[in-house]
Amino acid sequence: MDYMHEAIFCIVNSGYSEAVMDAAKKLGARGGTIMNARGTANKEAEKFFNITIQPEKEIVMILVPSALKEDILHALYKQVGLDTPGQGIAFALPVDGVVGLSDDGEQ
Amino acid sequence: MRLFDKFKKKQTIETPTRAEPLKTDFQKLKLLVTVVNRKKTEFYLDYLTSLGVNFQTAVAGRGTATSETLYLLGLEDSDKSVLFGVVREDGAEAILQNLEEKFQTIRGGKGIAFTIPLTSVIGVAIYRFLSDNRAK
Repeated sequence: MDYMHEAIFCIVNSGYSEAVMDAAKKLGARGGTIMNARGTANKEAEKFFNITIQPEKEIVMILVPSALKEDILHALYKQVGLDTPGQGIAFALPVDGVVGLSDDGEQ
Repeated sequence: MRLFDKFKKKQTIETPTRAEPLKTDFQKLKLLVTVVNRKKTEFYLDYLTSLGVNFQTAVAGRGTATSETLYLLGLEDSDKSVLFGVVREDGAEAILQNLEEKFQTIRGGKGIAFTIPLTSVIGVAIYRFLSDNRAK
């Protein structure tokens, strides 16, 4: 089954959602929705490795045409990926039956 | 050598054939994601409930599709709600169509909605609840 759209979810540290949207918009995404969230990590492991994981997160949900998905995921990986302060994780889910988008495509 | 023969024999024991999967009219489930203005949260929650969506959860969010002009005028309202609900596959199309109609006709009720196919769910009671299956 072919999907016309994909929903990209990107989980980043709080404050980096702007960076996510900048990266995505540059590649043609029109808009997204940001949700505040709280991450959990293994406390014991955190202590062991002597690092702290910022629990405050933002989830950015971006609905994009399938054709743009690959490029945007790559851009997110490079600009807000785990090696960056944003410590972002991004994934895409296939989406069907989209309603409510403006005529020229995206949100 | 005999040991080997024994081993070989053991290997060829027929495994019982599995029963055919039950042929039922199970419908797959889908996750319905609806993004609407914060002020319309209650309206859309109620509306979706009336369409037979039994389980919903609303998460506060904010939109990023900013309009420069509105932003400068301070009129921008980017507060959104994200509603997650579970629907049956065969009912998804109708629900989306009803939603679209509301998006277009309700003042300030614009939004987007889409569905994501779910692959698994565990528990018969939960499944029947999510799929609004009131049979029996």
